[in-house]
Amino acid sequence: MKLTNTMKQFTCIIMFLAATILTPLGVSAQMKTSYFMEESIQRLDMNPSFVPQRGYINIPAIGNIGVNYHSNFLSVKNILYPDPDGEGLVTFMHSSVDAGKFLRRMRNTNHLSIGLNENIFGFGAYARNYFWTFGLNLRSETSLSIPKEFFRLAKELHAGEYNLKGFNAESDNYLEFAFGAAVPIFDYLTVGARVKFLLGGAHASLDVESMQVNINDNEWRADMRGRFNGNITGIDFSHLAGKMPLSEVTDAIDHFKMSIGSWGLAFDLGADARLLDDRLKVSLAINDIGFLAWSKKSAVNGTFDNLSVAFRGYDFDAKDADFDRPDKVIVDVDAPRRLSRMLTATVNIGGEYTILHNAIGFGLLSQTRFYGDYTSTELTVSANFRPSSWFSASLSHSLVQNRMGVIGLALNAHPSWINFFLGVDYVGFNYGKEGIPINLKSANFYFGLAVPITHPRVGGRFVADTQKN
Amino acid sequence: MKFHSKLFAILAISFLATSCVDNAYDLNNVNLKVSLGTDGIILPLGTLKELTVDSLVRRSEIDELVTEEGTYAYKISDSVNNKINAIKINNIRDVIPYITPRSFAYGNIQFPELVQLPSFASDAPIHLPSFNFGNEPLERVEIIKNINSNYASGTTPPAGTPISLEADETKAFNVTLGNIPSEVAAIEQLYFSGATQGTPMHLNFSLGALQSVLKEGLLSFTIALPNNYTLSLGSNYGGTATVAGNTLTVSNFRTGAAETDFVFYLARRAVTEPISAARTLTLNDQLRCTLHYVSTTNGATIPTGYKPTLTLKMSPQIGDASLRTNDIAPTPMRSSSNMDFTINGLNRIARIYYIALNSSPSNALTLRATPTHIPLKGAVTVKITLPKIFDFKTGVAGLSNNVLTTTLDQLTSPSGVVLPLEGIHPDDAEVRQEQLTINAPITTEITPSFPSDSYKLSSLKTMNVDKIGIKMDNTQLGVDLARCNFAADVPHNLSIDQPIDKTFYVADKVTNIAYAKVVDAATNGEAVLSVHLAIKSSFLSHILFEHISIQLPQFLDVEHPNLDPATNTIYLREPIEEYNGSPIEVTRIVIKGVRNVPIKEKMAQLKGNIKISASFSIPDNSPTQRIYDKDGITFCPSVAAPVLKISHIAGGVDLDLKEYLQPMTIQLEDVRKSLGDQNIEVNLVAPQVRLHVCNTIDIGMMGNIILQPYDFENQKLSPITIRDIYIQPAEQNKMRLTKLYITDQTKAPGDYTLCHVPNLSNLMKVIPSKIEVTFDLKEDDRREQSIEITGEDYPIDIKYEVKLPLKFKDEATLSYSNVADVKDTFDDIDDYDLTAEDILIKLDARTTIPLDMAVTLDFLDNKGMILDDVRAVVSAPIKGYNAATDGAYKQSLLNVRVDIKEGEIQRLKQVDKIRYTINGESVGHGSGLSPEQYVTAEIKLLLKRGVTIDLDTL
Repeated sequence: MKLTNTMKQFTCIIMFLAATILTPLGVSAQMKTSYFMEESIQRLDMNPSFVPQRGYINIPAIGNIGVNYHSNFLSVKNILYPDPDGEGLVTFMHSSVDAGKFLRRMRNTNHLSIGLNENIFGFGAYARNYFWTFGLNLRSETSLSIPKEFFRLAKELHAGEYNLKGFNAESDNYLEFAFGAAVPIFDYLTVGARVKFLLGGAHASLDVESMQVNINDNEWRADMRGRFNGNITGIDFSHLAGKMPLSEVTDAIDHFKMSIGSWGLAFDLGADARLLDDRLKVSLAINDIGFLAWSKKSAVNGTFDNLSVAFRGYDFDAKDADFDRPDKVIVDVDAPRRLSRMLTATVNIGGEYTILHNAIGFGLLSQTRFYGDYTSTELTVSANFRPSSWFSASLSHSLVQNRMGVIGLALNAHPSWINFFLGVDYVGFNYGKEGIPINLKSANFYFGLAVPITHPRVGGRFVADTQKN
Repeated sequence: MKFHSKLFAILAISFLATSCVDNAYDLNNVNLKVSLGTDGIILPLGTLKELTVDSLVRRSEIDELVTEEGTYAYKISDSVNNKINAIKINNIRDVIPYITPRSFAYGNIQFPELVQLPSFASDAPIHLPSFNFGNEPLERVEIIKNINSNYASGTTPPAGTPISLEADETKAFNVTLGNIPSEVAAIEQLYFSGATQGTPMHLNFSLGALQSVLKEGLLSFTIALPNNYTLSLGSNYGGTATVAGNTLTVSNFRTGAAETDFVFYLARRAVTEPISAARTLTLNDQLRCTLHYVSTTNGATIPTGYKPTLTLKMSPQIGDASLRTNDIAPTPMRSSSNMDFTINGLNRIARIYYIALNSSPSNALTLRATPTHIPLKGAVTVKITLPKIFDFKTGVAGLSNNVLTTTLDQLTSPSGVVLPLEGIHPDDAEVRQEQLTINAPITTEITPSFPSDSYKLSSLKTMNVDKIGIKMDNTQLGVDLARCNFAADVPHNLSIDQPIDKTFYVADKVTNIAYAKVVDAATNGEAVLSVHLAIKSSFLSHILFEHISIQLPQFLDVEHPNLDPATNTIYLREPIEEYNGSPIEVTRIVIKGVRNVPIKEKMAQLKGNIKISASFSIPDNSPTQRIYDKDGITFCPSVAAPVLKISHIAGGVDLDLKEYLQPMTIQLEDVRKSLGDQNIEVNLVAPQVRLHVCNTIDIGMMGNIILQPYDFENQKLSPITIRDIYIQPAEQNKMRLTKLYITDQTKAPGDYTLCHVPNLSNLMKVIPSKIEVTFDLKEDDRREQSIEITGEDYPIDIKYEVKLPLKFKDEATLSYSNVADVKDTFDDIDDYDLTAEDILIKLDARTTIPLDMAVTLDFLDNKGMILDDVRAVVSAPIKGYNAATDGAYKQSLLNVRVDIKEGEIQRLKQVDKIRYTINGESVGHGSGLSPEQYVTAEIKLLLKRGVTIDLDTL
């Protein structure tokens, strides 16, 4: 069966996406380019003190969608290589691609993560001078780590030993109910807060603590041990304990019972000050201060050990392949425990100076994310254009890990009857013929569609328009 | 607005202008070939774990290959079935013919109509207790008292002077009775003996010397005993004496005599005292006597001399007594005697079992007892055990199982006890001189029983009975002859002699029969003669055959425990019962065979006599009616013989063996094919042929066997003749196996006959396609022939076994080729775009097989043609193992280079078969193939340039 060209492209894209890695592990659900786009609804997620001029109702399911992936190794350039024998490309597994060249492009630990932020339902509205918001969001984050040794094994397949320690995967999925309010304290200062109730859906992690692959002329062998954690709301794993086939664990998933067991709580706090006749805007926000506690009853965690497979050729007596593999994967389930995970807190500090009556603004955003054992900071400079009362656009450039990064672009059309948003944070300079960025190792995409529901508040660059409405 | 819009447009265009498109990255043109291990991959293909020769042989399923003494050998065996046609001999019917009955005259039998039973008497003892006690004298009672007066002798009181005399005396009165029998429970009253009213008491009052000085005075006195005594008066003494119970009083009896006498009587005493354990009764009483006399003096001087005296004397004696007895049950007393009687007039009667009596009421026994007085009140039971010979009628009171239980009163009554009779069982009573004497025992047991009661001792004292006479009246009994049962004393001797003359057909192959075994033609089991005896008689219903003898003809060979072989006669010593009209089998005789049977014109003749003799009598317990002047009896013996089938003959038989033993062929085609498609000289060591001839006929065969081999083209090779072969005859009708061992060796296994053929290995040097075996045999006429006659053919089965040990001589070669069908194996391989150039299979082989094995592989297409696109070259042979020079095994390292054109694995799809050829050459002289020899190899696949897969084809 031949693949069509479209399918071939799709395969490449999937390979690209699958190998993408998040620079600092942990998906950023916030689009930095939109931070200074005053009428965008998306930027409200980054600072609860931000208020738009109009109330809004997100169109269900497509009101605010954000998809992002990040990696530290997976780019088109690292996967596909020009064919030295002619036109076209070859994969990194092609014999013409030198193993050393390919492996030098791989990190010792190669990360990949994919995130989804889906606003199922949301609205915001003024009440007196307060701006209230509510949002129901689906949050999903999945990450994967692959050791460099894995690629060496695939590429070389030499006799010898391969240590594939470091394989792991993790996924968190939950619902978020967010209630926010922004309050003007002074004419020049607005503060806001948002409380978020979290309902855990599913959590899973797999950590391969050891995987030894041994290839020699007598035997090809792999031995693996590791640890796993799982938590699925509505599934009762509490009766499992001790050593058992993995199938017993998975069989438990068949007995789903609707319940709420895992929950969490988080806060966003923010302040927005407008100085120098609103030409200078300074804002500060701390987001996602909170936790998500996974239920003990729906938790399962344990280890697997001595999971081995070996191939020794053909068994002439049995007339079958001499292939040792366990009949059943045996896992040792530990006593269930409640798992509380702190959310990845984010501090956004922004400043924008506008010129030309606010037609153009130059912004600087510092976004710092606090992971468990390290922090990551990105600086984003942006030029923000507000050519009309119903349209604005931003162009950004982020410095990632103190290296020159990538360009971001966001567009926002917000006439009186609709609010449309489209934006990406990573826009490369080199593209393939199909428009696929060649060098980018991360990507995101945001889309939003909302319906304004109130008159605009008086103010801003188009005061007359606001007064008229 | 416009300015800003333009500015924005300028910026947007500028941004796009700074981006560039790299045309080299065209995702529509991606080569998806993936190469694994481009610097070389080595892949374990597996380890051939000690692939033994045995497992190889089993996989190749060569049925003829076996293991013997640790070495493989081709072993071909088969069998050929020949036969000698059946020998026909007719069955023998009615070997014993019908025996004509013979009649004998017979005598008279009589029995009397009356039987006389004489009278019978017998004394039966009875035991009664004795009550003879109380006869001894009692203690005498005597009181003598001198009475003082108030005046002394020599004094002279004035006349009219009152004088008074007083006396008061007491005396012990003891009564003792001894030897009181235990049957006495209590004595209630004692009666004292005397002339009239009891034991007399004599009282005397004497004035002595005073009588002379006194005038007439008044005398008063009393005699008193305890209350349970009774006194009586003989005279009232002028009205002055009175008795009140136990006290006697005399008041104012006028007397002046010197002596005055009184007589009174001691009548009886009521007894309440118990009888002591010593069976004595003791009564301790007291008697008191008071006296008072007053008178006046007459003025005389009181003389000297006797003083006044009171005298009382009594000698008591027991006259009788009232007593109460205990329950008296004396020990039963038994006595036995014989009732003898004789029955006369028993003509020709040997034994009598039952004499039935007619219904006359006089047919009864009458028993009586002599009258006897027994004062004890109660019953005397008499149990009379009458002889068992008497058959009494039922319903007689007190009679059960010939035991009569009655009382003495009934027996002493005028009619006595009548016992009606049905008959008499004179069991085992043998009649002697026409007379039967019966001695029948009779037993009598007397059992008295007297309950407790009151008696006068005097009535029991006289009881003196020690036996009771039992007697039976003289009796005449009327016989009912029709129902009598007896045995007649009528012995007689019977004898019949019957001639036999019988012929039957035999086949012409049989020249004479010295002896022929026979069986029952119907069952093929033993042939059994059944001899029956019978009589015909109008009066005998039950007789006993005795002293039976059956003399059989000499041509019959029979088996019987009572056989006298000298005369071929069977004597039956035990009597055999026979019932009239139903012949009884008296014995069975097993016919083993017939002997010395002459044959004339295919007919065998049996000639002789059978003689049957017996005596008979009427057996015991035979129900025989009275017989008067009956006719004789007819003796009817018979012999039932089955149809005889001859199962084996000994004598003379004439056979043509060449007609029956056809040549046979030993097929070696499979062996040859397993070694290749051409004539192969394998130079085998010590080939051998084993022949098993199974002979089921009792005829030995002798002569030669000729082995004729044929080569691959069916051309005759040099034959081999095995001389002086002897095939053993069947032994005792059982097949016999003759085992011949044809070899170039000088020894044969223990139970084989060695047939040494020095050049036999030449016969096997080129493995023949077949060996034709011809039997040149004739019958062994040095001994008498003996043949089992089965009616069926006589199989002669010949089994052969050719053994070719796989031991090689010098430089023996072996070529083996086979084709493995791998059709469809690589059908799916062109679904994948796989390329692998420079494919090398490396083998590290170790073996103990003593053959250098050069292996070639050819890949064939569906037409059997060798493919050019796929080739395999084996770099070197697998070296054979030489035990003399090599160690534990021989190691060989070799490569199989698989050359697939342009490395395109999918070209394997053209492969339909793989032909592999192994050319073996022996290593070392005398080396052989054995099951435990093995080859082992480690196999690895080396892809020097890895393998490439085009994902585009997925």
